[in-house]
Amino acid sequence: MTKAMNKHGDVKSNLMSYDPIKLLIEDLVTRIEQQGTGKTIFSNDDAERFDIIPENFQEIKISKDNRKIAFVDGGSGLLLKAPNYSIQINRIYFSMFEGNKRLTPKKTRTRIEFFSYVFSSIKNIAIKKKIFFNVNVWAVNEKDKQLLPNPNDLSFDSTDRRITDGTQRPDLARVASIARRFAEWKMSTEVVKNELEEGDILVIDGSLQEAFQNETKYTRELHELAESKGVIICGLSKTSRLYTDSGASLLGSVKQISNQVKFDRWFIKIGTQKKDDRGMILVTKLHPKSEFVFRLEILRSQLEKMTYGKLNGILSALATNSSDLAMIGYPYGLIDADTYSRVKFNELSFYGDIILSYLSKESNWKQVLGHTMALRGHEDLNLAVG
Amino acid sequence: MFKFAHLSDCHLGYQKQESLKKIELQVFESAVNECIKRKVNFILIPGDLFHINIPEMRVQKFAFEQFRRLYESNIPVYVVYGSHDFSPVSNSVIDLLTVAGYLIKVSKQKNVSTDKVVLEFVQDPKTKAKIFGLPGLSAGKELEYYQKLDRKSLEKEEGFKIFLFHAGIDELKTKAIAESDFMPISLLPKGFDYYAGGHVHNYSLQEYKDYKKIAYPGTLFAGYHSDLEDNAKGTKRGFILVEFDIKVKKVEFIPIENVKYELIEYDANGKKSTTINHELLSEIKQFDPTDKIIIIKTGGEMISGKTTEINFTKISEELKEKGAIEVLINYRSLSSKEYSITPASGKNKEEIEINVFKENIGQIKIKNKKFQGLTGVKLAKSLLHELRQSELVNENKIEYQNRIKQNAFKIIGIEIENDS
Amino acid sequence: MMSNLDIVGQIVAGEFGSILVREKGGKKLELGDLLVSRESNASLILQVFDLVYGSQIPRETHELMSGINLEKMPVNAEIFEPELRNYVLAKVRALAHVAQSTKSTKVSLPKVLPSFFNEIQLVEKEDLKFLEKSDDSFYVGKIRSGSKIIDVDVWLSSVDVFSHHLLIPATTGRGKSNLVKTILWHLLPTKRVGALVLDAHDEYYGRHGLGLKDHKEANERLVYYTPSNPPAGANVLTINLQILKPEHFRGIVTLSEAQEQAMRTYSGEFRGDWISAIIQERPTKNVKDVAPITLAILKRIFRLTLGLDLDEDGNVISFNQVFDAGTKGQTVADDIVKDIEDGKIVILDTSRLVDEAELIVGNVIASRIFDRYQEYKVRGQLDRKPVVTIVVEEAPRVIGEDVLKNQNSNIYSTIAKEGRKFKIGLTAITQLTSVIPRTILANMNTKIILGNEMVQERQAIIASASQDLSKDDRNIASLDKGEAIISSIFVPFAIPIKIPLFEDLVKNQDESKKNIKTKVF
Repeated sequence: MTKAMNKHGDVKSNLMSYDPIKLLIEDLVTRIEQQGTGKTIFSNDDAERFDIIPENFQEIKISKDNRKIAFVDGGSGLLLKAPNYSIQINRIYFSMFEGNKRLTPKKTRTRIEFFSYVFSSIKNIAIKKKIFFNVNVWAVNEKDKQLLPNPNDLSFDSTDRRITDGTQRPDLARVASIARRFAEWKMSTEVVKNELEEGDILVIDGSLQEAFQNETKYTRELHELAESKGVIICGLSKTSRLYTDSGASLLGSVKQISNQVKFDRWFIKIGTQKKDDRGMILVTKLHPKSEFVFRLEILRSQLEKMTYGKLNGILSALATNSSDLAMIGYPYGLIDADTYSRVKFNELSFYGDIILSYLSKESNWKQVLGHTMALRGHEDLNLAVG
Repeated sequence: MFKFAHLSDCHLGYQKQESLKKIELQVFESAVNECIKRKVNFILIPGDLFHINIPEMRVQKFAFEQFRRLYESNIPVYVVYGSHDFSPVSNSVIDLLTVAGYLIKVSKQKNVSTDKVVLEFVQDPKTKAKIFGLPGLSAGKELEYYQKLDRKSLEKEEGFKIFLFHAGIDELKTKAIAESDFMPISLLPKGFDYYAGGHVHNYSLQEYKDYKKIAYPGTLFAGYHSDLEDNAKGTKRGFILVEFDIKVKKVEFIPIENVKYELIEYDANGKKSTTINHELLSEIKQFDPTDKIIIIKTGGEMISGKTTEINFTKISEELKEKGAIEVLINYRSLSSKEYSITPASGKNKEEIEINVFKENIGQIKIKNKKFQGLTGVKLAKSLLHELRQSELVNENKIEYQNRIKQNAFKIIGIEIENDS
Repeated sequence: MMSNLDIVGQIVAGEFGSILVREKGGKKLELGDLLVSRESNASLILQVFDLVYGSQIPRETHELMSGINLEKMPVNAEIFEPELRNYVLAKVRALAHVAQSTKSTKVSLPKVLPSFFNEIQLVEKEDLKFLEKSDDSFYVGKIRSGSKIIDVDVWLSSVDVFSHHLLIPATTGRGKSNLVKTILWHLLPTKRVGALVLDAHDEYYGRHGLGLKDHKEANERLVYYTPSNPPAGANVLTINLQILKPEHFRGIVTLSEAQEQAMRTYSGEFRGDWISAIIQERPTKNVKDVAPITLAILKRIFRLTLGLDLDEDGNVISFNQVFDAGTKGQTVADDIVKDIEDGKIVILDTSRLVDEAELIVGNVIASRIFDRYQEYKVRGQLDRKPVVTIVVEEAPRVIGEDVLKNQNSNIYSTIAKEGRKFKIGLTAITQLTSVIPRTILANMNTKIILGNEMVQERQAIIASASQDLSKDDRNIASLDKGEAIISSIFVPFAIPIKIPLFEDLVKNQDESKKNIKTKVF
């Protein structure tokens, strides 16, 4: 290493050329440029895919076609956790709109709450002992029991890759979220059954893809009912980790290409990730002034039968519901559903305290609470070091 | 130049004592003589010419004589009722005299309307003076006339105007005459040349903005006991003589002599009844009572003895023996510590009366249980109620007195013979 | 049962003294609105004292929305369900707790919070049934909820209110004259209160236009004194100089010790003629007692305050025609006192008098009443006498801090401090409450508060009120003409009222007595 003076009198050394952030940024920009947008969605198998090109963008024309849209969303809050158990409070909520007008449900209760409790158990599977995570559920209001998933469907092998975190066993909260997911399907089915008619739409927050063991049981019931009644099932995600075939972010790429498109509101069919995926992925922009584009899935079996007009009708209905100034371009119904399904932070301590107070009446409460120590070290360290 | 005399509050028939009755009439006759002598053009008498609307025959006869004299002297007499001699049904001797043509009532109303009292004037034929007037009524009830009076029509009249009225004026009150049932000057019509007042027994002549010459001649002799006291203190009595043409030129008080007086004001405060008797008897020896009216006024709280123990009769007799015309004794303010009324309070008159009786009944030293305790209070209430009864229609004075007396004694439980 | 139409809001948060009520869409709650929260067997009367915006949407988003609107941006967007997400929160406080039973209604200060999440209604006539009229009450107006009028009459006990002093704080143009006339109108028929009204603007009698003279009992119950041109039925206001004494000037006219001494000397020697003697510069027996300069200053004071001077013949005359050196007006003060003791209302037109003269005249009469009532108390006769109130405008002239500090106390301040014991009270009207000492304000147990835009004044009023008005600052500032708040120890809570128009009172009077024929005998 040699040192030399520059004209300002600063000490110059070889090390001054090493600017890690600059290097990082340069590398990032280069990679992004190289990636480009890609051509299609990334898929490992022979899934149906469409080119992401300006020609494939289709305009959403706003029609005066009135149809009901029901929005379903769920939320959870962790109340108590240990490696071998955790307790959550869950909420599932739905609302119905026609354009921007809220509709009163005929029969279905708009919100249900339930406690879920995940606990570990040891099962013998083919002479091997395995750790299983099981979820048990209790409705807050006994009337809502029928809308909860069957606990028998909620027992998962802790090594099941669908739930593990890499090679690590899954966080129990993740396991608990499966129960919530199943409950969302059940709620959706109930809504389709009692509230919606042919041509109406049900939008669920998130993807239509089944990810977990036994999930198909719940989704099949919903899909069959929806098909029989002619109710369109959609899933809308605020975020997406899908990629294009060049490794670029799918939504980012679509947005970039859409700059060449003159439509104020548009949609583009993307395809599916896997051959037998239930939902056809689209990307859509629902308001001219929106900065966001969203991943929208429509039940493939329904989409295949749709004309452009019919599809436009669905998207037009969604677009009409997406002109709330609070979040332009995102359906108001989902904002609403998120608001009422969310478990707020201050509610956690409320419910948590109730849990603890009940627990404290049990003679072996110390033993029960003792298990939480295993997960508290990090928090205590945070408190200690500030 | 014209002249008129303004007399008022003669209260003919007021006096009860023979000696005073005589003086009362003599004084009036002197006033009439004076008016005739001075050749007045007319006379104004704004009320209380008589003490009651129908005085005894003696007084009526006298009045007719005097007014006939004036009539024959061609001197009209313009009058209004006063608070004592009015009659709502024209049943006053004033009306007899008016029908006879000896008096002229000037309280003429144009028509009886709901809202306003619109007056007509009487015009004196010789002087052309326009004379308006409103009568007095008992207990200040004439106030309604003035409240409804159409003043504007009076004020618009041209010429020399006189207004006759029988009422006290608030703004003219002095400490000496501070009665409460007077009325504000603003109720009189403005702009008259002379306001001939009656009701106030002392002479007064005042001027106010918009009201020139508001005059009261005062009583000619006496209409209340206090008038005689004032006389004794030197108050001059008489009438007012006014000279005028288009305006009032001169206003003069013409005194009419009546009689001499002697006034004894005795303070009995803190004295025994024996002391009072002694001192009064010696006091009356200090002057010559001949041909005088003697007025003895005594008040205060005696330290011992009863007021009835003061021998006023003896004092009176002694004075009369020495030649006093009349002896008048006023001991209304005299009280005795041995027997004094304790005041009491209450929400209304009824309650106050009962409470006063209750407070004081203990002082009555009568053995009869009828006059003691609550029974006594009840009896006292009944008695008071009876004594409050007024005269019935078609009942004369004697009958009225007998009825009341009989009923009163009945309440007390005493039988009396039915005599006069 | 509350129908949905009746509900105007719901309790959502807050604390005692500041409860938050979410306003139901479209109900437009107002400052001062009276609300009711129905509990079991009771109700809580609430009042709105502040209004704030509430929203589920962040402020920045609102600003953006507004920008889009104002700048007419071509954005096809709106606020969805605006009545759900944007709303008004009313801050309310509890005024009274009304416990209903089959036998009676008990009103007390609230000590509990209303039930959480309780639905709220606007108050109705039935909720305020406990404000009932008693025999000797006087009317002040109807209950006001915000700017709405509820058909419930508000009556105050005249004996209680006037014996414990009444303060009417108001700035110009807020309806003070109308209020005083309304009060006096209702006092006229009663014999339980007598009033002396120093009418500095000649506005109460109704010389030109409607006034107290139009009351059907005015002939019997109203007495009006005016210096000149009295209308029919009115008296000429003439005060004889013999009635004035040196102490009547104390606390009203600033005098040096030498001047006061001179007055006493002349009064001692010339008795009732002392003022004339000073004006005529008659020498005292002991010439050295009074310096010529002192005499000259006193002459000047009499000229400026009483309007007295000499004519060509050396007689004392009065420019304002109120004071008389002769024989007029000897009994006026006694007559006025007697009328007041008869429970009448006596109005003195002092519009032609300078401040000091007006107050001196008031002093003469008030002192006389005070002395008499003290005597009645000693004799045990006070309960038979009516309560007396002295109505004084611009009260700081006599009970202001400066006045009381720099000069001796006067009859008005004496009455303000001690009058209650003798059933004599002040009705003080003022724009400047802040200059009246707190000790006096504390004694004024009823305040009928009209609108006041001055912060300092509002604070002074609030600080001395009989109820907690700490949240009513905005309320008082926004009181419109004819709107008032009654704060008194004789009412269960600070009552917002709407005072009727005096002209309407006159027009609605029962005229059935009018058509009686009068025959002159």
